[in-house]
Amino acid sequence: MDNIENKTPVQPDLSELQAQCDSLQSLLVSILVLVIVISGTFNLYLLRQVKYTRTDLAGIRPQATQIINNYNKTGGPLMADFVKRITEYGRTHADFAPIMAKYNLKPGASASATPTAPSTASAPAPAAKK
Amino acid sequence: MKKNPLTAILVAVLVVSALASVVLCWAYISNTRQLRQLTTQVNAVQANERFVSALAGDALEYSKKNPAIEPILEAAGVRPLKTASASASKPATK
Repeated sequence: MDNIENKTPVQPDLSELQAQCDSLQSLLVSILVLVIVISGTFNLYLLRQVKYTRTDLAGIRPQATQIINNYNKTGGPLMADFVKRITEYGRTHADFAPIMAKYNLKPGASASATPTAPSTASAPAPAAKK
Repeated sequence: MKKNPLTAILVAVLVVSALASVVLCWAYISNTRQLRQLTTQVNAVQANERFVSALAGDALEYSKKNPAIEPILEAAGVRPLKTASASASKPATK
């Protein structure tokens, strides 16, 4: 056992080590260049995506802001009031119950409750005020 | 140990490229998030409008059988006011 551990490996000569070092150096440079090329391609892709999304955002933002502001200022309260009145009406008129059920309006719901979508269609919750 | 200037330059370029990737990723995510938020809000508004519009349509249909709901529809502007239509039609009858 001791014999095996004490056995010294054959030392490569200096020129061979230098060659290996040069080889590693060139390999490192090649890998760095490759990674830079991949990274640059990815950056180009991201740059284009950022450009496209920025253009989309610039096109959508004014209209969306206007729609949301109009809804928050006028449309939303009017609709909520209408739904509230309808709900109150449905509480006192039993023949209105099918419509109430269709639109998932509950007579016991609070006045400030926002309307939910009809049971036949799925819709997201109303927009939150910005 | 001898330093290779080319390696140092390449590493520097790689670091700059990685930083650029981070910045661009952040910009892309931020833009996409804003876009999604706006789209979601607009969709929600439109869904609510469709919901109320459909409800108003059904209520209008219901008002043909039960006119007690008419004041609500008139107040919401779903149905034209009776007084307005009456006053408009009165001079014509005279």
